[in-house]
Amino acid sequence: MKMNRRRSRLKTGFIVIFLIVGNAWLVTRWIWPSSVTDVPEVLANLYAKEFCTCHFVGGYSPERCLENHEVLYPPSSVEWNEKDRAVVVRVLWWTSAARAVSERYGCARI
Amino acid sequence: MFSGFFSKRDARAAWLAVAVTFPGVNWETIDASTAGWDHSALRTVERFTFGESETGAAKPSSEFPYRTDALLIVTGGRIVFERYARDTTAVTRHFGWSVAKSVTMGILGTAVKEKIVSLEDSVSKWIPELKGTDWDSVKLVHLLSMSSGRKWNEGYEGSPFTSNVVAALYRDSPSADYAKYALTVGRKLAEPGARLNYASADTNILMLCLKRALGSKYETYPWDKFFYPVGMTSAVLERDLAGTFIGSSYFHATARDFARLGHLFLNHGMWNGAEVIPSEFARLANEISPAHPKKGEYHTTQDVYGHGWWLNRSIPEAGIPSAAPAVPEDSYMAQGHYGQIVFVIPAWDTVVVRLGSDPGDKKFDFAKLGTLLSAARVGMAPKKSPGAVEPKK
Repeated sequence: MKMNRRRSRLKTGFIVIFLIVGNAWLVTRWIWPSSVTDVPEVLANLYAKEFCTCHFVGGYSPERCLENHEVLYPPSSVEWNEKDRAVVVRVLWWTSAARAVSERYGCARI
Repeated sequence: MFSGFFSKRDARAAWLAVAVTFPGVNWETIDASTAGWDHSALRTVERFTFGESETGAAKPSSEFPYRTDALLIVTGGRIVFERYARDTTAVTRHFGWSVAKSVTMGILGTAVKEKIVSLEDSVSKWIPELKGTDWDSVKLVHLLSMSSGRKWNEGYEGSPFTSNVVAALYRDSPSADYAKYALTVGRKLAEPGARLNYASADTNILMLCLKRALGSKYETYPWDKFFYPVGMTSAVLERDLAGTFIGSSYFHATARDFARLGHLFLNHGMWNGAEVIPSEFARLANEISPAHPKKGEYHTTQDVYGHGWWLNRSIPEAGIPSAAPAVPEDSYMAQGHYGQIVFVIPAWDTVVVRLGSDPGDKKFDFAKLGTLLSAARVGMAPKKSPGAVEPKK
């Protein structure tokens, strides 16, 4: 009997926490431009675009270009192609790519 | 043999007699003392900017957390001092970040000169789908002076979730069309011209207006009418997926081309006898935004904005000190994230460019740089304007 009560309390506790966190996420998602779940998207896009500009437009080394944003969560992988002047970056589940478009227009995400 | 007869002030007066020059493909250099600078004091400027001790050794990052990539001092159109670091060279295209806003102002100036647009044009004149909305009362001059009165959070990595800039540059959907996103989120908070809010949104909406006004010419217009006439051949201006230039943030060029931007404004929009932008328009750069001295929402409360450029003047009645108190108050600057600055100092006939890759949470001490520059400028001790406010320590 005691065990059932404890389980029931735990279950209720989990539901309450889930509702609080879920609602908080929904509210921030509605009010703020970005939410926690957008972090991989933002970071992958940031690394891809800024790496592309830094390396293919600025001519800096890949190491230096990654150092520019070292304070943020590191990318899971960064692959670049010198011939196509393109870069693909993955942060957790999000993949982003950018390419040097032209001499004048620099880089853009693709 | 006559050097002993000249005082420092004489040297300055002699310099003023030297005609201003406009760099062609190559730049002229000039000896610092001939241009009115003190050699040893300039060395102090150099040591401070590049984080070196008295012996020239690099300071540890705990003492000097900044990363200077370039320092260039141009007086009268001639290079007085130039040094690069950290793999940066004279031909490296360095990111300018928000220096782009001052570049956008220049591009707009050429369109004003050609009477394609007017500063008094309403935003809805060029974006007709906004006709009948409260954007009708927002003019291009409001966008230029960061006083559209619209909601926008100009936060960066310090506030990634609440920042509209982060979403506009790096979220998939908003970044596809920056200006459209800015128009969508920018609900009215105040009458145009009544509230200062430094907002990349305003600059990118301005870029969209230019795009509509210029039509098919838009793609090449910045180079044809602005960059190439002043020799900014390294200029790169990136676009969003809708093909609109990100006029707020994505301009890249060599340090020397950043100096050309400053030299153009220093000379009131004239370049080697040709008018690139009208002089009355160029002077707007150093004219205070109509929304001052009311306080803005963000860091702008501590700095003074003009039209596409930051001003070095103080606003005593608002308790706002000048950004670099040792530098004359009629100076103005293009500033960008991670420590970019193009400092236009008319009283010294000088442009100073400092490019960096500073950590996002460390703001380079431009006030100290100004103090050291002032000490190096021969016979040019700063005059305090009446009622000037001391900066907060």
